[in-house]
Amino acid sequence: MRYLLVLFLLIGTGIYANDMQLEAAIFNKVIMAITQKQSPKVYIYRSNEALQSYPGKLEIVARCKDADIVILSTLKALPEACKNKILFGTRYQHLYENRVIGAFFWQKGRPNILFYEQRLDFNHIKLDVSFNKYIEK
Amino acid sequence: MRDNMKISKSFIILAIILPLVTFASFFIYFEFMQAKESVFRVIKAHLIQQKIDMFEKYTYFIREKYGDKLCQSILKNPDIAMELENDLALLQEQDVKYLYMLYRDKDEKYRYLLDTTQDLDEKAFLNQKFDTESDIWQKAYQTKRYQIIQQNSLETLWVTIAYPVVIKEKVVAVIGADFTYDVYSRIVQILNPIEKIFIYISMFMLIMLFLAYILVYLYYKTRKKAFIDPLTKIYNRQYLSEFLETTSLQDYYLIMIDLDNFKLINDNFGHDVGDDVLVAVVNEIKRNIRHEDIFIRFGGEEFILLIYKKESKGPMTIAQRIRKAVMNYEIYTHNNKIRMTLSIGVNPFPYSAKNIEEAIKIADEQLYIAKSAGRNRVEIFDESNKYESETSNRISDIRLAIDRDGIKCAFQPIYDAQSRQIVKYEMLLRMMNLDGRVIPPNNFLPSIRHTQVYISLTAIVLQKAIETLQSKKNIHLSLNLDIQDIFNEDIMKLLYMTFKGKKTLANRITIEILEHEEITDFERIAQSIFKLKKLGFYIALDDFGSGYANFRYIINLDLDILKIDGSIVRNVDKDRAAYNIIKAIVEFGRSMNMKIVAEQIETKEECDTIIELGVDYLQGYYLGRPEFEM
Repeated sequence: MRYLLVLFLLIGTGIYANDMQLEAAIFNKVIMAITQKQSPKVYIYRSNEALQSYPGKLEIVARCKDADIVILSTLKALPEACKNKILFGTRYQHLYENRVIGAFFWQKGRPNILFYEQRLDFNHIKLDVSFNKYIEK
Repeated sequence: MRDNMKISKSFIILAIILPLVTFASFFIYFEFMQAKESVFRVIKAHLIQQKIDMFEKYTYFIREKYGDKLCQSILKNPDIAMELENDLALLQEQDVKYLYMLYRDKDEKYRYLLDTTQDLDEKAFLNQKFDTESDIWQKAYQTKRYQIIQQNSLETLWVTIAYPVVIKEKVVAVIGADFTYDVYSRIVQILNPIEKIFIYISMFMLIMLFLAYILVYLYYKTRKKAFIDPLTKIYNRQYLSEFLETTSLQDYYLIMIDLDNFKLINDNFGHDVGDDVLVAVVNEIKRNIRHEDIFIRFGGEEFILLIYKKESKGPMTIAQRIRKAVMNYEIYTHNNKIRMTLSIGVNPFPYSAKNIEEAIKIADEQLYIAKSAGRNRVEIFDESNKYESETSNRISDIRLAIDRDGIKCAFQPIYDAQSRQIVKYEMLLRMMNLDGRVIPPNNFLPSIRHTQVYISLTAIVLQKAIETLQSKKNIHLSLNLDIQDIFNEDIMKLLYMTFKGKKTLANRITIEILEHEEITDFERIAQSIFKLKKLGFYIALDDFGSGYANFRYIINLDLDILKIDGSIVRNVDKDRAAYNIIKAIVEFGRSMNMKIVAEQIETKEECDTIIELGVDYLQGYYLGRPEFEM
């Protein structure tokens, strides 16, 4: 599954024009894998330009309590309603917080995905084998 | 009649050169683009080679220092990691955005060993997983050779190098170097203005080409309009010169067509009917010519037809076919049934003429002959007479004839109808050519009418008239002058100078004015006649009834004699219409106090009928042919 990222580039019907579209496509793929839903409800805390611009199959919800997953841009002042939700980071530093199951972030111009196995297990999340490459023990 | 809007030189230039220049500008542009790509390739290769050389030295250094324990040393000792990171950072220059070292763990995941990045958001931590975006890392491990990839799928990266750190024939780590687009952008920035210039030139040429074709299209569209006669929808005379720019007369016979007595149609039926008749005749002629033939309205009721020689019948056959077709064609317009006839002059060798004017002149002469011979006829220029008919030759021929006394005058008697006595002689000009052949005036006069030779010839005739009158005291002479002659100041001056103080001689001369075209300036004619009469001449109007002269203007002219046109006199004994016309002319003449002359009387019956009608004077072959001696 080393070509997963290349596969990500070709998600849908065409090749994505820029990094933002690519990022949104990767988010779609990852969130659907985490939630095991075709149209998962996503709460964005506080912002995510890529998802807000290209939500794809994701349903962006306005309240955290309605969400299947929370996409974080920061952990500061995270609403109480979000704390028992699945948290997914957008920076490597977000992974310092144990409640965050994984993160998707850009580093050196490349997209990076990282999950921690323990945290996935804790949240009873079973990812497809194609994600094994991104899971850290 | 074919569409003969032929392609001119300017169009060829536009059609070939402009696209060529446009194509060339695009070609240059694409060549430039290729050169640009080539520049990129060379620069890229140079940058990469520079880095590879540095990595080689760096790996030599760490190989020597840490051997195959490199990874363990870095992972276990942060100081070593920091030291090596600092060393690696020294290799990083402006063109390399990220410089790092990776190793592959037992799960075949790539992890950071070193990272020189200063930006904390971008800097990876020791042992942090590195998600590979391509297989160059794996290949570097497998092949032990450096790998390069052009990062087309990532926006910020241009080229990435994966350089394997080989120690004891084993790859222990890989140095990664990411070049940003900064270098690429700098080159693009330098080359962009040049590229833009090429784009602008190519676009400009493309627009020019487009505009040029539009202009050419509009030009030909409007030009075509300018060459079409609005009434008859055939070409006008402007087209002739345009046509000859691209076509040789060698492929054509030239035919000159004139509608007989067309003026009578306009006078009697009005101009609307005249226009309808003109259009109808043109259409009838068009039905009798081919698509390849060029039909031109030359002016008024005069047309030029260029018959394309290829697969055509002889010009005479075609001309006769046209003449007969029009003659048999009944034109119905404004409740009138009208038949028209054509006089046609044919020049089968227009290419032999010096220029188109000369070629037309020859056809026009034949047309003139056809008209003079009674109309509804075709006259063809005979190649055997070619020498005589070429104007330039004729002028030299006439000069030669003048020099060697080859200009002769024949005298045809005119009889008094009652006394049957000769009352005067009509002086008729003849020219003897080198072979001693007699050339009638119609064959050479029309083409020299506007030359000095014509004046010289007139002077000779006048001199001969004076000599004749002086040598034969009891005779009276008739001289022919064209209507244009009495408008010609030189001729009028010549008459004045010749007969100044010789009124007694002038009193014995009748000037017969011949008109062969419609005259509109009656005032001027009246003035000229007044001057001639003041000199002592009698004035006769020649060929009366042939179509041009009309009663209205004759009433206003101080004429002494009307000379009935020969075409009316011919067969007057059999033709009731001719009989009535002459009867009317005689009555009209009497009422206007004019004498009437009938010419071209060829039979006794004609002569008797003419006398019976009360004509004053008689002339014709029946009574006496022109002779050089009286």
